[in-house]
Amino acid sequence: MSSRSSRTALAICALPPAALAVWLLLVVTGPLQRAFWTIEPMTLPEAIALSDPATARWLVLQGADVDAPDRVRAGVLEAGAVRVTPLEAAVRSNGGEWIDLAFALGANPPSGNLQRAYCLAEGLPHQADAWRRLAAHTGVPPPDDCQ
Amino acid sequence: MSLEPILPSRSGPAGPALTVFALAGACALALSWCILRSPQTLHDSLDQLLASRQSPSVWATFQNGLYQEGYFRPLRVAQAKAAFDLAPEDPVPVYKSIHVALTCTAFLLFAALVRPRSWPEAVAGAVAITILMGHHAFFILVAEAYPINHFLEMVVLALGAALAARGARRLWKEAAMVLALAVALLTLESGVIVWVVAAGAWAVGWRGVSGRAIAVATAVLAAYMVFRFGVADVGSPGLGERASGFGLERLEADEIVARFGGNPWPFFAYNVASALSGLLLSEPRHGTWMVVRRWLAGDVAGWQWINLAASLLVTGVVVAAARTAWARARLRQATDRDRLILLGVAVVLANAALSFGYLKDEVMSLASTFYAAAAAAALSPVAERLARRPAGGAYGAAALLLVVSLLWTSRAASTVYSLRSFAYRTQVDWGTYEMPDTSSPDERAFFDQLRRDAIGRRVPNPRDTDERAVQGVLEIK
Repeated sequence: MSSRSSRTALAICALPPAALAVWLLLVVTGPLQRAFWTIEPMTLPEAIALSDPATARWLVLQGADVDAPDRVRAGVLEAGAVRVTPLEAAVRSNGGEWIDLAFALGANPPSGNLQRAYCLAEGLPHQADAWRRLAAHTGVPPPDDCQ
Repeated sequence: MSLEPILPSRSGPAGPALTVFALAGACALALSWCILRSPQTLHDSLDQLLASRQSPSVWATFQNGLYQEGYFRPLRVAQAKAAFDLAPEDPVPVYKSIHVALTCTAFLLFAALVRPRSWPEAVAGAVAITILMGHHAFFILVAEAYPINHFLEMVVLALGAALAARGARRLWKEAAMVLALAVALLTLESGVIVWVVAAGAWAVGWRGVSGRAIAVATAVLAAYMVFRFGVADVGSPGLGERASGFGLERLEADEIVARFGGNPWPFFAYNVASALSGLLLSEPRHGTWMVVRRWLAGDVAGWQWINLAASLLVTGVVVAAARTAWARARLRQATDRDRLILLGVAVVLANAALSFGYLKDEVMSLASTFYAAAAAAALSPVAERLARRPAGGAYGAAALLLVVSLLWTSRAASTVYSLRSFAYRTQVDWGTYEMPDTSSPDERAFFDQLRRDAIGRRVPNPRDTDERAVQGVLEIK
């Protein structure tokens, strides 16, 4: 290797750490911050559908209505955007402890919404568990017919 | 053989050192940025916070810590209490500040230990910083605080002891080393490694502290042993206190007792060997051979090959350099690099031996720090080969250094991605955790306050980030 190519080789070996430093500084100082630390605005049903209990709790602390329907972005529950209550989002997405969380956050669904929540679980793998939890929290049994 | 100067003069003689300090600073800055945006650790931290709140004083906390069965960490809990008392109404910013200060100090001390004096050494030092940041044993040190990360504290104290031991002898360095050892021993069991660093540095020929100071340090260590095992009868953690990896599985504490209760030595031997292997080869992790398990299942991830290759290459270079260093040391011709390598070997072996009880990646964080420092010394001659004329292996050296640089830089980047993911998972912990029914209204109110702080931080949901794309090639811890 010539002296010049030696210098070039050494500089190339230093490039990855140098690039790391530049990337880190761009993340910290702003230009790449949003690309790395991406915060998308979220509704309460969306937070539950995305299994994000911390954001769900935070939104409730900020005054979000636990029984009100709100938008869930496309690709989360359905291919398109939908409008559901937090309880419906829990039933439709993950069931289980997320249903419990919706009630822990203060969900108190009117009977029409509750029936809709029951029926949204119909046919899902976690239907039995979801129905059991809904019944346990509300004392209202599943409807005889979701049609 | 004389060396051709590489990238000379324009930046002046301080250029190589400043470059490595700048890289260390950038890494520390980015990690600190993540730390400040992340929620406070919940598990392993909440109990400590509640205890600090209840304790009447730092001294009372210290005294209580003297007699806890299995663990002797009075200064650890006293530190947490002292920090808590600085802002009892809102202690989280205090703990965050301490975490950031320890992180920045660790990186700057590491850069000082590596201390490049030429551009080849600077390149080796830069790669060493990526090893420090990218090693899996280091990750939890920046990801968690309990509420103070005492593993990170040990790294700072051990690096400080190594720096004190290097260079000209000074009384203040001796005093600082003995004080660092005392603090370390009273904080965590791994504090013994600070003595290994001090004594090891003296044994390899550094004379920043005298033999007399090492004797004082040894007396401090002996006093610690006598008090811990004789006076306070604290003993060591029992076999059945923690889950631990074993082979391809993870054993719960009761399974460990059932399997090894009659004869724990095979379990201890496995832990020491696995700690060593985990550090040097990146497998096993937490005592479990994850690559083998996933290989049997036919789905080894790309990042696992990267981790293996990165560790194999650097460990190979360090082992080869250690053999040379040992040979020269026996002839009393050891260089400063040789001494750093031999000190690294001593710390790695001692840390592995201390890990006999159970395995967690972070338990080997002191070893990973000195492994990275040894790598800087071992890679420097590789970088210098690039400067030699005629070729004389320069192409091979260039290829090796470039591959190591690429692999470890990717691992360092994975630490930053992992911190983002870990912040989300910690926030989920806070979102789902409920205080026990037995807790008092006052404790619940304090918990609610901590939870508001944790869930109010703006942390990305992985669904909104590039995490899925990244985790094919980078480990998301």
